Amino acid sequence: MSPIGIRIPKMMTKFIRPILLMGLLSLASSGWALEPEVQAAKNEGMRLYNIGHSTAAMPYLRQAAEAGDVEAMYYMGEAERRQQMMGLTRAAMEWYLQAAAEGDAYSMLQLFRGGACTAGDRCPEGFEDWHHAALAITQPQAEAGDPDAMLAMYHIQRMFEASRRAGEWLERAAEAGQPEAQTLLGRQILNGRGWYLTNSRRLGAAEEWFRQAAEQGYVPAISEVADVLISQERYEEAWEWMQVASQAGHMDRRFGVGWCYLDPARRERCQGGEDKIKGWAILHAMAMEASNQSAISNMRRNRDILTDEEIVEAEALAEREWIGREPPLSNFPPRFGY
Amino acid sequence: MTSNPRPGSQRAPLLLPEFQAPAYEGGQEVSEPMACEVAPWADILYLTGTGTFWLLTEEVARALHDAAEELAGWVNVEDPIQRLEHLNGEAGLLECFLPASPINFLSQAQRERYEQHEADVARHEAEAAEWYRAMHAPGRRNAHEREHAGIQYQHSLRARDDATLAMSVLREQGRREARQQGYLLEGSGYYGPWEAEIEQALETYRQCRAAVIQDTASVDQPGTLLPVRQALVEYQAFLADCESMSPKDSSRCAVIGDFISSEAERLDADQRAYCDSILALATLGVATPEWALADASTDATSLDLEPGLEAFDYYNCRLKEASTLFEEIEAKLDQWATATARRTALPIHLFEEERADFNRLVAQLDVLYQLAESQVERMRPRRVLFWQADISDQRHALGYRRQVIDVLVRKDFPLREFSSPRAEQALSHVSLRHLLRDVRDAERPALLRDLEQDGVLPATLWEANETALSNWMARRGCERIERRADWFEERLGFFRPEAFFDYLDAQGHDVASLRQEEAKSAWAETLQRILFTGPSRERLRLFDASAQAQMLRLVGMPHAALNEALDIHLDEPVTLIDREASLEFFEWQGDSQAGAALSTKREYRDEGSIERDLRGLGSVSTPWRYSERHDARPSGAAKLELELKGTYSLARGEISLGTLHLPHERDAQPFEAVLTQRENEIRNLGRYSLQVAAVAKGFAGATLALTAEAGLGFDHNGLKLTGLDRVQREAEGGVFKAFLGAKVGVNTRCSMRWAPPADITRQLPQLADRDWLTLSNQQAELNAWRSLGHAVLGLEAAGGISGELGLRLGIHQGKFVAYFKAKVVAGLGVGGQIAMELDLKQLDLWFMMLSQALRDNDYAFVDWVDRDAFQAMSRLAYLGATTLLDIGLLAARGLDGIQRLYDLMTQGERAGVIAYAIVDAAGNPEQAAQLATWIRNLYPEALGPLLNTLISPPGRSGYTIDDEPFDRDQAIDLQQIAIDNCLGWLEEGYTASRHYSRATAQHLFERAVARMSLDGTYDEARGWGRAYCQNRYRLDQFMKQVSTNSDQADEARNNYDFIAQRLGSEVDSYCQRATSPRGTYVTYRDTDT
Repeated sequence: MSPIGIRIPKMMTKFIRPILLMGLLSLASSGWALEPEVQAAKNEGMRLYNIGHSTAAMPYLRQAAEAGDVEAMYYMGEAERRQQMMGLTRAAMEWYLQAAAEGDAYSMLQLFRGGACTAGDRCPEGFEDWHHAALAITQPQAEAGDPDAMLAMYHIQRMFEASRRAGEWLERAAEAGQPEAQTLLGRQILNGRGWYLTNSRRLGAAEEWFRQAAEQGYVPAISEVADVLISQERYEEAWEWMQVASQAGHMDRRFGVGWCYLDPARRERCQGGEDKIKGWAILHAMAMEASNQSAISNMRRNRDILTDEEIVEAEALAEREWIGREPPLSNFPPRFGY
Repeated sequence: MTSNPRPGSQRAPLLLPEFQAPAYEGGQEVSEPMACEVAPWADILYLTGTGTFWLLTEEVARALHDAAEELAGWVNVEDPIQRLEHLNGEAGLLECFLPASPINFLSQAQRERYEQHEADVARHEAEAAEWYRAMHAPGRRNAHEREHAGIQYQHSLRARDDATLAMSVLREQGRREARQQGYLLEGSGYYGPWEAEIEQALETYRQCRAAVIQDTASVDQPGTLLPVRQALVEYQAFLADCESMSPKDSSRCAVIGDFISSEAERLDADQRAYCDSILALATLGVATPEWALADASTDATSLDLEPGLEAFDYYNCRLKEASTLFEEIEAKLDQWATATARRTALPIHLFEEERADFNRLVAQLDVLYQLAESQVERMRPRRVLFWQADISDQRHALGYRRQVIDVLVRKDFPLREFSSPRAEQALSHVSLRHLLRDVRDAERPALLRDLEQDGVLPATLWEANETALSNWMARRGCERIERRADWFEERLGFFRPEAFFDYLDAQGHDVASLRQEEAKSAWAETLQRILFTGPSRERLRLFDASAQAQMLRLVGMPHAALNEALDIHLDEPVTLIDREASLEFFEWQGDSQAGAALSTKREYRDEGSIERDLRGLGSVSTPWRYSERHDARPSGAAKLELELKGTYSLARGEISLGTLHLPHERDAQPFEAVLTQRENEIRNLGRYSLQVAAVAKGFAGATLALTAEAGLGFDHNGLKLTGLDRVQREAEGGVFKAFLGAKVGVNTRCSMRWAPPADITRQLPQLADRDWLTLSNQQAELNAWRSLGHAVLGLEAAGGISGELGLRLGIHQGKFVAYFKAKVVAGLGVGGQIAMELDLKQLDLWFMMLSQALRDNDYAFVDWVDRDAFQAMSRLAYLGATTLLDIGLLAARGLDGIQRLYDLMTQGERAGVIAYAIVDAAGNPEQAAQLATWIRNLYPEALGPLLNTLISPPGRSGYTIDDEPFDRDQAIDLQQIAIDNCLGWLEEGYTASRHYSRATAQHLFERAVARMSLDGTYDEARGWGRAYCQNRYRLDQFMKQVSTNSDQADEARNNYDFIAQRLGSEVDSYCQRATSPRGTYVTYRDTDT
């Protein structure tokens, strides 16, 4: 058993939460602190947004956005797009425009991608289109060594279809220690980036990046470590990492862990033995807290393996130990995704 | 002056004194005056429409006036039966209202054969439809049975075509017989000569307007068409004056005269043509939007419009804007696609912008429309507002449609109209048949010959080459005076009676009836109202001299004077009823005018269009049948009584009837479909109300006023008036069962309103997350009456309206159009049909109704939707489900626009973002219900392509950095989860929501999998079973891919296996997999082979 495997659970409690928040911090996040109640609203908004309840998140996020929080503006845009199958709506555009006016590069990229300028005649002043504006504002910061700006450069260059340059920026950001960039790079290696003699070397190279990010408490990376370990058939370690990710609120791993307790025979990664009550409690909590579809369909399928009494017991357990716990459940959606 | 006979009193037959006519050589020449030449002429008359005056001898004058008075007396007979007997038996006027079908001229045996063939056609069609079903029954028959069904199907089609051919042979025979009996195939020329003129005028108007809108109108600079508007205002005011006074008395004469003479300076050539085209339509009884809005400004209504604008300018600006709206959006979408396409979702803001612009435009045009309607309402004379006159207009699919009618008619129309100082009325009428009764035997052949040669006079509105009455008068010693140009005022072409009377004096014509100053001046006044030349005649059409208008004046003269608008309130309510007889007569078409070419009713079908053709076929096996349970209407009989108030306009020869509500909204009964294959379950398709504004012209108007009980009826040509009186008469070789009435001749403008069925509105995806309470609170709103769109009466649905439902959905000029049999709207017993362009706002409801219909029919084809309409609706549904945009908004882009978007959204590269959006929505409690409703209601033709998109492997371009792939694994995960979500929703349709049965979910799945392709089709030649098996294999293979070790993707793959097994259990056992060195093959195997 790897020493890290033992160390992680302790480490997590110490610094995962602050780092988790840091990961959400905007490149151009405004300096001033929000009023406590506004900050609370933003936190609740982000919690809801992160579990996919974007409609419910909007009233909270709006408070923060209207108070001038640039990140909240960006996520208002994101949430608005989610009301229309990810299309750039006018409402979303207005929020992105507000954030872009504050220098938010990702908002600019969303404006570019959604055709705000080409199709909507809302163009940045002094630039041909929004990705040009994003480049102009981000490149100096990236070149000055800001890792977050380097990651942003990766996305910006992709919008220019300058894929080689994008790849270079991703590597620079990863090397500068940006955990999201490290995780992205690891995934790309798994997807076929770079040349490796054997698949196990490829896995090893990816694992290296994931572990670097995981050690910073970046939860998606913790999940990725588990993923690599499963591919390497190192199931006991994988199980440990799955649990760490689950504890950190990682939706996919929480679900995996719950399902494993319910039916350990499903996959070899399940190393915790059978505990139907606990398994059901975890899935039930996911369904209650996040209306998670995987949990719901899994429970529907496996309803018969528990007695009614066991279900009552499991639901009580869920109330006691799983529903509404910190850190909250999250899909950890990438900041700049679809 | 002779005294008027009392209404209904019988007069002694008119006996004309013996008179030996001199040898007559024929032609136009006037025979030498007789012995009475030195004596003063007894009277003088003007023969309407001919431009000629006649100096009359006393005997001719007396004969004509006596006949005219007798005829006027008959018109005034109170008892309608007696009235008609007189008019028909003695005046011979109604003979010409008896249109006939060639079938009437066949012998008894031939007619029976014809009817037999007719029954055969229906039977063969029903059989063909039955065999077709057998051929395409899903997976439950073996190949041998299907082959047998195919042969039988072809056999039935051939038999049907044979019978159709035999019918046309018999019809041709009937036509030959009819010709021998003096009947001519005339049709519209006889019953609605203005139809052709209107059509022509509208075409001219369209061209002129297109040119002017293109070059002159401007969105930013209203008022460029000011001179045109001013001209229209003047014309309007002048024509309104003419309704109540003699044109020469109008205070506007001077202005109009100036106007016409200085026109060239004021308007350029294009504008003049434009202005003239509007005026031409106005004189034909059609008010264009320009005409209606010329003298209105927006502050009159000011609802949604900026006040103070000239409505006319505003209208033109809006049209100009509308013409560019969609082009601009398309261009922007293209730009975006070029710049940023690939993995991103659509720029919804563009469509929102488009929707906002479109809605604003439509709202503004709606306000303008209401304004125009109220203007037309106020204007005299009344005209029919023709709002969608321009068929290339983006907003409308249904333009003007000329009523085409082929009927056999007696051409010897005997009515003649004249004006004389001796008569009490301004205009008098005689029937030559009436006159014929009293003339000497020796004169009859010549008169009859001339009568036949004259045909229907005047053939055009003005020029009549009358011979029958003229030659008779000539033979009796009367003298013709031709019209001279110097009797007319120069600028407007008004008649100058003084000049005419001076001429008479100069020629030494002494006319007894003109000696009385009073009679002379009254006649002068009349002549000024009926005799015009130049602009008054050609452009302003101040008097309609056509035979039809003459007929109406015959009927209306006893009630009103010329240039006097007279409201008539018809004593009896008008009955809306279908005359079986009329349908019998008129439901034949497709025979050429010459009658030589034999064409079958339906063209022979090729294999490729079988399915579609069958929609027009046999009624027996259609699963949807019109429910008649509501047709026991309160009135007892299956008829609808309408209060009609008409307004005579004698100078124009028309009666305007106002707006009819068929039926009134409060009386409307639901249109219900009976599902014959589902134990006669009832499906409510909503309540409908048709609003028809009608003007009855000529014969139609005359009929309405004359008959005992007038009726309104629909048939495939639209609204018509029918008399309920029938005339039975024996003709050589056949029995006529003729109806009295006029077929064409009612100008109409219609719109339809509907109250959609509540159970459908509640199922709309956008209401999916509302609970029961919220929905009940919204009930009034959901069930409200709303405009369904503009309607056209009688527009033929290509291939007919299917079977027994009486409704068909199709595409016309790129827009969705619903065709209704009139009976479903106005009640049983009403024939004919209505076409209407669907209001885009209601399109989602039609989507849902179609979805319900598909479920009701186990996802076999729905026979009341055309293939192109169905395809467009499927495309829209795909787009609706992947964007959650309103499908009405998407549909506004037109068919091409829909297709372009569809192509964009089925690109494999977009699979990732579509999957992401589905998964995201599925996890969002506020969105999941809406998307789930969409997915459950998708047609297989849309769900198939969606599944197909979702199994597209992530493409290179969206998932490559530096030539190396990235994010592909996550995309595959997402796509798998999305597929699982969709199938889960589909299954929940019966497990959780009881929305439909398990079998329905299975059939939807089977059909959708078979249609997993870019365009939702499969190789029909190889059958859907094979397509299912192959696609099911592709789907299974995709769902087996393990790309990451994500636990949620694992769940999706796991769950899919179970769902797919349940949903495919009916068909899976027919799929067989064979592995050979070259790969794995999947085949579909029938049970018995």
